[in-house]
Amino acid sequence: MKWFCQSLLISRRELKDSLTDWRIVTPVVILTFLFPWLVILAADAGVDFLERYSPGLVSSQLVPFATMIVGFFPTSFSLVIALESFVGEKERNTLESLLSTPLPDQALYLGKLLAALVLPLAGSLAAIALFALSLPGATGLTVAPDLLVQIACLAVTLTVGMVAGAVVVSSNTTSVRAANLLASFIVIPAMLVLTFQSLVVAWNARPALWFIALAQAVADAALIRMGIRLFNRENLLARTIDRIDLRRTWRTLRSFLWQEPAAALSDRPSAPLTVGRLYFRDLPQILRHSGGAALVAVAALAMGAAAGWILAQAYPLPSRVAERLEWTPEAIRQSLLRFRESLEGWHWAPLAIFLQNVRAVILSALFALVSFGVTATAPLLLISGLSGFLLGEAAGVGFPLEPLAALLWPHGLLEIPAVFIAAAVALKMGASVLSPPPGMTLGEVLLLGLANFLKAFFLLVLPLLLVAAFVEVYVTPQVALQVLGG
Amino acid sequence: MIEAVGLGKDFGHVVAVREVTLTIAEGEVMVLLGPNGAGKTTTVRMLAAILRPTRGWAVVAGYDVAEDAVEVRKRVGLLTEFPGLYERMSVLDYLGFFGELHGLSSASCRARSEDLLRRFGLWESRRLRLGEFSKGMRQKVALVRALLHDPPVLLLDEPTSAMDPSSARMVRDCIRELKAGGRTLLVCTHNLAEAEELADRIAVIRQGCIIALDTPQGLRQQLLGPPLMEVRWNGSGDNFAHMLGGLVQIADQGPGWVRFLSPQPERINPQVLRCLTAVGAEVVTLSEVSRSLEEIYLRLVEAEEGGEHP
Repeated sequence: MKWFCQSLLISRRELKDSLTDWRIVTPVVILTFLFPWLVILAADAGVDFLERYSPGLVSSQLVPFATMIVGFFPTSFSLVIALESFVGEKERNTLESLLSTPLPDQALYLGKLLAALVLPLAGSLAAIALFALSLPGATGLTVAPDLLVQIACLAVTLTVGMVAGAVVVSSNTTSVRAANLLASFIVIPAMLVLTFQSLVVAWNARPALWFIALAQAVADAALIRMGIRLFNRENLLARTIDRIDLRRTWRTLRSFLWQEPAAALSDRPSAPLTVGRLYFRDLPQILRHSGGAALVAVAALAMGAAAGWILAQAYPLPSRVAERLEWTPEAIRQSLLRFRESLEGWHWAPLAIFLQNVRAVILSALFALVSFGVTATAPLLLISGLSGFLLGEAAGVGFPLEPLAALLWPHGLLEIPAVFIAAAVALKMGASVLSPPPGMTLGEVLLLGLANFLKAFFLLVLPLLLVAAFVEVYVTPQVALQVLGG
Repeated sequence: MIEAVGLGKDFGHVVAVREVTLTIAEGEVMVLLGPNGAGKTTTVRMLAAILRPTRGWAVVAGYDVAEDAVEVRKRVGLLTEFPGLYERMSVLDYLGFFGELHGLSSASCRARSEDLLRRFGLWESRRLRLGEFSKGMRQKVALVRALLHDPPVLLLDEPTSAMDPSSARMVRDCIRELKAGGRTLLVCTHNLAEAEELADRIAVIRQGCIIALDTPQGLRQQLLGPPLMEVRWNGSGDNFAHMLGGLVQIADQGPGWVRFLSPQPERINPQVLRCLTAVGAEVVTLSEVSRSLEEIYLRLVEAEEGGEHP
């Protein structure tokens, strides 16, 4: 607790500094209290118009959306405090004296974070409260109390995420100017999240707002943890000029590709690079290293299949459609025979399937780099979700599952493990920024993850996908025909 | 109190400090001299446990700078290259903040602040905001901040820069007092006269390596040869110089004076005086010709630039 008290010392000083600066306080106060009134005036003007065409739309959708916007606005302009928390001190040459005190890194980071949080949070909640209190008097409309609580939770978690992200940016840039430019990477995703929240309200799926708030809270915790793990007082002083050094980046990536993954994380020397080493040392190390991510991938696989099955039960095929489908084994056999004949003249089919799968894996891995690894599970969710949905629909109309399973499993036995391994390694790569190994920079962590992903991809995933594509075209239909008695 | 062995620091592929090995005893003042970019500030930052060494090790006040960084920082007072003050705070608030970070109680922090502020002539300005201070006053406040928790080790980077002569004198007196009080001090400066005045020993750093380390006298001896003495007498007395040539190595001469090298002044100088008196010379003065640290420093740095060893 001692370091937490020390962090409060930092917060107190920073807050006092901000709150005694009229150039900060004046715009924050004016905008925080003026904006809700502007929104109320705009809403008032639009109420008559909208009520004329769609009665109920205003109270059900416009009011919640306006409340969300009102809560978001103060955060966006108060973000500058968080953005300059570290890099501003560096520019004013006050950072070194602070770093020379016996303050643990966590205390310093947390102190800055808390100080940066107070104004945006207070502004956001004050604006929502002002809006909710003033709205009935001005327009006769009200915000339902339960919705107000939900919106406040969403605003708080979104604000914490934006500020935590801004502090990460501030502690990893070299100038306030660069930090302000990078703020777009916080504000734009936050606006997309806000849009998504509004859509959820528009769909009238309000219970889902709790899950969104929970997801935002998890993301906040991840960002704060990442910030603390990445915080390095040394880098703050050492980095004076950020340069794009492609040659150095390539050298680092190459060194990670050349050495064993375990050697990159320790002082242990690496065995010489051979194909045998890659398969019998590097790959097992990568897979072991991705154990936790593999569990998440398994969960994604199970969740996808379950969600697909549940959706199939919730949205069964309409009976008139089911009746028109030819579900007899003979009809399916004929379809498969036609499919096989159609492929006879087209030898590129396996390549097309292979490239399609490779594209999905590469895209999800690339997005994993900027999404803490979350998008790496997308192909798994898609495959298992579709499989679960198809099986669910088939079971619903009484179609025998054996031929359907025969259509999925021959190539699935290769394809699913390939996608599973790619997802686990990519997830590990993206998530590694949340807790980088000591002494490694963010860039090095990502490059090590990328090197591991490339090894797993070229040594295992790519060959499996290639074989799976041929199996899908030439073996799966045969197996299905056998099952169907052909 | 400070011991560094093979201390080095790389920033990516840039070697900021190659290898620094030095020991500073309790109550000793070591002055670190070197051209800009030589690695002085990085060395100080490593000893202050702000930067982690890439190689080598250092123990400051009994703690390893890499392993026990927080303990080291508790025991070190660092005057940074730039004062870097929070301009919106008053002096007292500023010192109170740093006092709390160092774990001082508010009463002891207040008493210590008052003592130091009075000493540096800042007490009357204690309620002013730091943004209103002149450069020299800011430097003094930064020095007070470094001394606030009464650390046994002080690392001072350019302590008198931007100060007027009387303030600089005040700071130098303070450094002498700290030394007398048993504090260990490492002072970085470009002011060679100040270095000579304060240093028990001088280390010259260039391109991240210590290229010379000795007492000022030792460096003179090492680099400029034996002490240079000058004797003056009444009248021209050209023959006196000629006579002395048989006794000592003459470096220069003129009407009524001679400069000679005296490797052992305590033995040679009395001989010179006896000799001159014996031949009837009226000796006016016999004194050492002062050779500045600047001469030594430039010789060292130029020798390194030329790739020679001094």
